Amino acid sequence: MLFRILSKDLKRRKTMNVILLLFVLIASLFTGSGISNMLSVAGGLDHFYEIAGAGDMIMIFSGKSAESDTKKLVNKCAAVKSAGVEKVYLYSNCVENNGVELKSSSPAFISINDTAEKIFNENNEMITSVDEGHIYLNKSFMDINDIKTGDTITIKIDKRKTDLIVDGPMKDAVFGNANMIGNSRFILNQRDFDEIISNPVFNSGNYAGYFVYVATDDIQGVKDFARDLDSYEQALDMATLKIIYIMDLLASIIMLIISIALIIVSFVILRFSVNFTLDEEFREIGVLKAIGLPNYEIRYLHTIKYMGIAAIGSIIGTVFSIPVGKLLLSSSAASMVLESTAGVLPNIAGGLFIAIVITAYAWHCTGKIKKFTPLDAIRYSQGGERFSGNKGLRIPNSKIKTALYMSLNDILSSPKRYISILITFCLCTLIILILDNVATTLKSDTLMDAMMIDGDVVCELYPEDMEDMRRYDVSNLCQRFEDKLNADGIPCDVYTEDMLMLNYEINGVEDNYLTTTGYNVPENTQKFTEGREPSDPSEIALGAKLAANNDLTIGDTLKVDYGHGMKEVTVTGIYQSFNNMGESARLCQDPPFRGGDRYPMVGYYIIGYRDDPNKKTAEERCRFLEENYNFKSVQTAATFVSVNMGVAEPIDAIKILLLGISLIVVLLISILMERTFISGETNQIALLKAIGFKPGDVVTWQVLRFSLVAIIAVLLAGALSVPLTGTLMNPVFSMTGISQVDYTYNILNITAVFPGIIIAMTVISVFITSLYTNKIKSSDMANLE
Amino acid sequence: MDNTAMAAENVIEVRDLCKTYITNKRQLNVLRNVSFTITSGEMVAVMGPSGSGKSTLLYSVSGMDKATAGEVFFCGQDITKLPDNKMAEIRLDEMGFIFQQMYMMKNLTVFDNVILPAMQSKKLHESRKETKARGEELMRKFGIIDTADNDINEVSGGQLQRACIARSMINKPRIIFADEPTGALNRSSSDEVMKEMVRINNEGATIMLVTHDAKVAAKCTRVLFIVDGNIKGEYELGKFDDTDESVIKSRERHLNEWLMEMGW
Repeated sequence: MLFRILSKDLKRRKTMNVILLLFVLIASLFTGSGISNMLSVAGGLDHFYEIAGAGDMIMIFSGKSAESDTKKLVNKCAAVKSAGVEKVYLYSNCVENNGVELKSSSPAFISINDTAEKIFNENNEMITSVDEGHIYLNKSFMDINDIKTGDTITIKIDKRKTDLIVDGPMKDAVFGNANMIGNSRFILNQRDFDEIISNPVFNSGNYAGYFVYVATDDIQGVKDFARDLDSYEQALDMATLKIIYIMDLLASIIMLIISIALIIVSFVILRFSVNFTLDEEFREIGVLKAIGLPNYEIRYLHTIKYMGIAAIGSIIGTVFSIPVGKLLLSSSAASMVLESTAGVLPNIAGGLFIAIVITAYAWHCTGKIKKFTPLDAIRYSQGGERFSGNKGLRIPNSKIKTALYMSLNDILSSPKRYISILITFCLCTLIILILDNVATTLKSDTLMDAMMIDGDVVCELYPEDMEDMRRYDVSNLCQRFEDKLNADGIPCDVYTEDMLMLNYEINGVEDNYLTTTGYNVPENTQKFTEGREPSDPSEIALGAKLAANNDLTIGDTLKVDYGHGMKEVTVTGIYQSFNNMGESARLCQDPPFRGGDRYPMVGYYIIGYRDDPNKKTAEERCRFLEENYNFKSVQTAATFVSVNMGVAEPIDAIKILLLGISLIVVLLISILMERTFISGETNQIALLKAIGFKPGDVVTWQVLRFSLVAIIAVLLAGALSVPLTGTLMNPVFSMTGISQVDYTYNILNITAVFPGIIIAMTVISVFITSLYTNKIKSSDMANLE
Repeated sequence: MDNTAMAAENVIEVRDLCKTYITNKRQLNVLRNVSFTITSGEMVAVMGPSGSGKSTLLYSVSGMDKATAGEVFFCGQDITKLPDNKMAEIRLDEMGFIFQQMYMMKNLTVFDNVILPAMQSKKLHESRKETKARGEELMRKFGIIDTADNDINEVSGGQLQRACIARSMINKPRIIFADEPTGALNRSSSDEVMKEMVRINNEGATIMLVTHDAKVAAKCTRVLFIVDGNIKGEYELGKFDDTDESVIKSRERHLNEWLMEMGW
């Protein structure tokens, strides 16, 4: 009996079984390699930090007393178990390759002899020496700037140039991601290091800094000690710093998300397949019941096939997941010292999980058998079909096309049958649309305020001009530039923002926080989720995360040190900011430290138009600024956000990858369902042909009903994508300091492009599959008889 | 259907029709040079033993199956040379079909099944309301109007077959082809169906039906007896317009005698 059922089923439902096998196989492959990669990266990261000697936190000191302060910390702070100290020289925007300035080039120059945190080469061997005239660079820095091993880069500081040959990528645990960490260590031979820092520019002492890698069990204790040291700038614990490797985990996370989606799709296919089989074999089941077979034995007979498919699919998937997992790991291993310790166990566990889940669900689906009675075998003998009450559409009085009517009627008559397709297509479209909404938002100027201050154009200053800005009244400079632009016929406001670290006392605990203050910023330009901007030095606004972490709200007080001792200030506003992941504060526009011994550090002019120029005018104005003023770059706010966030492009790439996978799913589901429908409707198709329907009419009927479901699915996905983007992505954004995002939607993409692609794929795949109906002839009525 | 105008017209003219199947590299000649005509208003039964080629003849004559050789003229037009789409148009507009199993579209009600061919056809240039009115009229005539809104699994076999007859007539065809129309029915349902077939024939419908039941064939105007793909003989019964049981029995007896002569 078992063999007969299996062989009959395998022969008759080849397409269905093969597609189900494919889904199980891919789900196992993705799950196995995803879990394996995730465990290797997450587990390997701790090992990497340990062998690098990165400690538990990194502290940054700068200024005249930095050297003595670091010594004090290392020798006198009881919380410090051990520490490695590096003296570095920081100088921005000074690295070129073939005359082109490199991106993210904020190097921290250090001699190989002075490194405290160890670095490794591609073969995971520790780098202990660098040849004269050579350099090792971060893998991510090399990737961003398209630098290859053997290339020559030029360090250009104040007209002095030093050429260095790149010996290869190095693995640097703490500074491993040049995009996410502002600085990148440039590890040099002692001779080259000495040559570079002999530049008179460095004599001022403003560029020297200390990186201290502290091993401790009491991070807060170390911070408390450091707060009394004048040159202490910032401390970051390693748990936070490991976030820089999130992109290495992203591939595994996406693979696991895709496997979940594939498991859902496999469930849909399974349910459909089981129901179809049971509907077809109800008479046999009735007979089996009549002769006394218990329900579980009949269910076992109908589950064993899926158990076989699940076993074969997951075994093949697991086998393939091993090389795929290694491939994934090799990409992460390029920037990390990783060792796969778990072996193939995660892959096997993933495959086993898929096999069990699929078999369990198949068993669950066969529960329908319990409802069958022996009478079913006799009662519904009409053409091997079981009919249910008609919920369909009556032929209307209007002149609707027959194919369209029949399609609508089919959907309304058997909605359950089409819900599987609807869910799958909706899910496929939804994933793409949500990613598109996120990418569109990240490429728009929506988040400009969270990065800096809201505006329309960002003009980046040359380092020399930035130096000049230190010597002048920044508000005045902004106003003068604004007047010039107004005279040029551009009605706008020009303003900028300064960033610094200040010491605060919040709820009795002192700590340093990133602080921003605007210059010449028009009223109501800075956005606040609650309250208003601070109007004088006795007021302050807090980043949402800083406020939440310290349980502060509007009207509460805290203390800030403007440089002349702690002063009580009142919270007047809460705002969202990416800066320091939302742990920042915003001062009024005239803070009392101005004019003292601290100079503003601004790198940009922000231009906010007072009129509302159209796209063309806005582009013309950007060109005008580029041509008539000496800026390093002129970017629209949207471009500035996109470039600085740096994640819109990867998300776009993932979106395209998911689109490809979704199209494959749509293709397979369409073929599977259509092929199954045809096999169940052979007699009806033959009848239609016999009574005079042309082959084209039959194909149109078949294609239309899938297209209608696909249209409903994509419309539903479009409608759901708007609220779901916020629901799913707000928690992700909140990790970066933004809790309320005004998402930007590309209406064309939501309503036309992606839905169009999904519908087109559906139509093409169903159309090609439905051509099989041409094999069913009107004369087949004789065979059916 | 204009009965008088078509009274003498040859609706079907078959000349030297051959149908050969190739199975397992063996040639199977199912029809061998079959020739006959059906004039309008006739009700012709095709009888013969199993495997004699009755159904193949019906499917080949109706254009559902391609003939291997020979010609089939439908109202003067050779339909063996027509492309599939043109043949489909003719089947939709000018031919009606009744099958042994009462196949219908499962998601449609009985009434919607009946008017479905009219919905697809452009022949009658009528509004949907007019089509529905005709559908209702046909169903009323066949005594199944009460089943109009039912699902096809909610009615008896006899009612369903009468609905199939109504469907076959909805586009006012020139000829109705019926393949064992009573084959799946019990005697009482079979009688109901044949009563309707005779009635529509008497109202002018031309019918070609395949049957192995002499009781059914006895109600036809003419019987073709087919053996091994050849028409071995034909028997003229004339119009059957009497419901008198003795007339039926007499026609059946004569037919049976002739069939015995034919060697059945």
